[in-house]
Amino acid sequence: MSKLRILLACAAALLGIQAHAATIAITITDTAGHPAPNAVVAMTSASPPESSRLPADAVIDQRKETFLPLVTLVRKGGRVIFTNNDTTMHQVYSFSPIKQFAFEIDEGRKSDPVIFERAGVAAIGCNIHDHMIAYVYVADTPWVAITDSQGRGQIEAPPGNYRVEVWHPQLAPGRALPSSTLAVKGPAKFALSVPLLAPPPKHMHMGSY
Amino acid sequence: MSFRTRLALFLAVTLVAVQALTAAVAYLYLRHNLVERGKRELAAEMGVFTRQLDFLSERVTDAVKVSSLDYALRAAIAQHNRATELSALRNHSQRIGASRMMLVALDGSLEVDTAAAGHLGRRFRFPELLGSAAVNDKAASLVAAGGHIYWLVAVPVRAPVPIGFIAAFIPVDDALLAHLRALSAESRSIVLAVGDRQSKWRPAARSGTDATFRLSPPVLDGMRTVSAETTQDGHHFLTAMSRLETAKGGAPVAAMISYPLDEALGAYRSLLLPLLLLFALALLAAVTGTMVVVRGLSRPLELLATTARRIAAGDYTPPAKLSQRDEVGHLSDALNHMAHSIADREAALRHAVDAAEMARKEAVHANRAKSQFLANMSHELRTPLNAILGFSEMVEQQIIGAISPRYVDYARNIRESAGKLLGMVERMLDLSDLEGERLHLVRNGVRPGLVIRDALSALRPYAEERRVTLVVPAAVPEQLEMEGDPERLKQAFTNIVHNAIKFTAAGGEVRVNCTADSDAVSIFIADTGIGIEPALLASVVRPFQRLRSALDGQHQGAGLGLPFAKAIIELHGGQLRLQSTVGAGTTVHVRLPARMRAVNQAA
Repeated sequence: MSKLRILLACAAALLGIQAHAATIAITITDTAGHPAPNAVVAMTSASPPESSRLPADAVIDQRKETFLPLVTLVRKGGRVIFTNNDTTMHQVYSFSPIKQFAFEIDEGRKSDPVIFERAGVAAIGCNIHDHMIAYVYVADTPWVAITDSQGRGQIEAPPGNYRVEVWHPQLAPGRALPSSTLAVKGPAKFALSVPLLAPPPKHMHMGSY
Repeated sequence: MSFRTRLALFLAVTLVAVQALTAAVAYLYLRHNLVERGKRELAAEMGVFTRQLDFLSERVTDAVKVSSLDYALRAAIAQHNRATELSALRNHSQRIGASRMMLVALDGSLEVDTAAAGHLGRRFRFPELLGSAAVNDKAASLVAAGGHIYWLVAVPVRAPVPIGFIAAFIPVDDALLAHLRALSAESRSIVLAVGDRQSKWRPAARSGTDATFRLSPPVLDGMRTVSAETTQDGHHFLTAMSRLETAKGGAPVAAMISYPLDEALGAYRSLLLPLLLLFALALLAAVTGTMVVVRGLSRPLELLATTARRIAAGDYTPPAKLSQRDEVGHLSDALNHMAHSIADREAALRHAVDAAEMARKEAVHANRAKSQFLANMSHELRTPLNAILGFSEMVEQQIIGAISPRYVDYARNIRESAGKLLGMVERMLDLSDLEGERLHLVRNGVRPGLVIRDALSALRPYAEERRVTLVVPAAVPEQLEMEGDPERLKQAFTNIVHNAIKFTAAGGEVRVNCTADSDAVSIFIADTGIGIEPALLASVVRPFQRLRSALDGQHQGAGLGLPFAKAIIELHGGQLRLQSTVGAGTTVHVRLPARMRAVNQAA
């Protein structure tokens, strides 16, 4: 996955598109000051870009009853393939408003690509393993980044005024997303702390049996 | 009441009192301990009960959680398909035994309610429970609603992210309490009560006996759990009351566990009969033992009492010897010894009495012989004395022939001496008659006044001769009369007054006084003579006892005057008493029965 990201970054750099764009360093923390990985930071502007350099295709793997990665970022219309590298069958589903689907994948197989036409976040679960969860962030803006384990990320964007919105799996459901504005004139830094819920405990609902 | 009965009664009463007291103290102590232990046990049982309740709550919560994971339900919720949601919730309610299920949106508004299809969009009443469910993936709490008690369970619906909450009301009802009660001790009653705004507890669910349902609950007063002893319809119960955790915003719920104290004491009640039996046995043993022991004492005592009564009646034959060697045996020995002593002493006494009686008879006989001798002697003396008197008088009167005056004088001397001797002989004769009870009194009307006057006038010459003043009463009451012998009385008075004159020195006086009352006359003859010592007063009225000390040569006589007078006066029913002071004189007091004669018969 990281290899893919590096390849994409290298390709963008070689192409030299938007050479005048500035780099925005992003730091997301929780309210206690701890770094918040897997946060998606999306910048939108009044003048939309002509094209997006976001990946159109992504793979979500299933190993040891876990979706990997937890958060997958695709552009609108992007395609996601689910691979099953586990020892059991999985039943992948989504009840999310942007995309509903449900299908089974036998162990060692992969799914047909799932095409996400609408922007938003889809929560993906496994109906066989309730603790399995993954998120597909479908962005309709090219200026998006996912924070790493240090809560950091970076976005290349031309100067301008932006609205910055942060999404995180542990944000309280049903609430408006934390957001801010940012005026980009050159290289800039963006930091925001967001209120995060405790991560849902694994195997919580059935105890240990 | 005999000694035996009293002792037995005393022991029995003491035993009963001690036993009753012991039983009362033991009962109170036992009861107190039972109550205290019962309270602790009940408090512990309350802890067990609340834990059981918590455990059951976990189970129903898990059941609701499983429902929330139902794929089709989640699909319906995700698609906001109301009709499917409602029917699915109803289906799950039946599955898990919930009386009501709700679907709550993430913002806390009601989306579906199996009990109130028309009232949607309201806020869910227990938002804190939803918050807890969001964090802990599930939450449950007791709530009171409409007088009933429920577990309210809330779980988030994840698809796989939270898309809402399912809330379920699972009734905590009589059936559930009966189930819990069956798991614990059957005798306990469990009541769940809901508190109202007036802090009154109203039962909402219960399992147990009717009596315990009506018990007034102990006052919690800020405490979480209290246990106490309460009374209902005269029966005692132990109760424990504990406030249970309830969802914030609802009415308080408390659990009360109780059981009848009689039941706790019942185990000891079966001890009552054996204890009573033991007690009766002890009582019987005590009474019987007392009777036996005391009989060993009272039997010989009764025997001894019989012996003592026999001794008192004069039977000194020794009683049967008691074989026992204790206090009673010693008493018996002493009694025997005493009987012997008394018998010996009485024999000696009787012997002495017999001897004394014999001596007395001999003395009386000798005295009588002496009196007889005196009487005979006097009688014999009178004849020659009369001859001497007659002839000496003839000689003196010179009837036989003329003689010289000198012989006339001799003859007179002879006559006078013979006359005195005759008088003495006659008095001796009288006295012996008195002693021999041969003196016969004439019974005529006598006037003591006249008798005294005659006696005094006869003695006047003698008084003058001895130069003693004779003071006679100014007026002797002559109208007094009595029955008696005038000659003997005159003789008695003459003797007394003569004696008085005789023992009074020349120049002294003899005063005679006379007083009379309704039935007696008292005559006092007082002299100024030599007097009599008090120790000798009694002896002067006995015959022949003339005082030796008075024999100073001046006084002569046989000592017969006063004894004779005393005898005469006593024969007339009177008394003679002497009062005397040595050197000052003697007073003779004569008292004779007499009464006043009628005045018209006065002579």
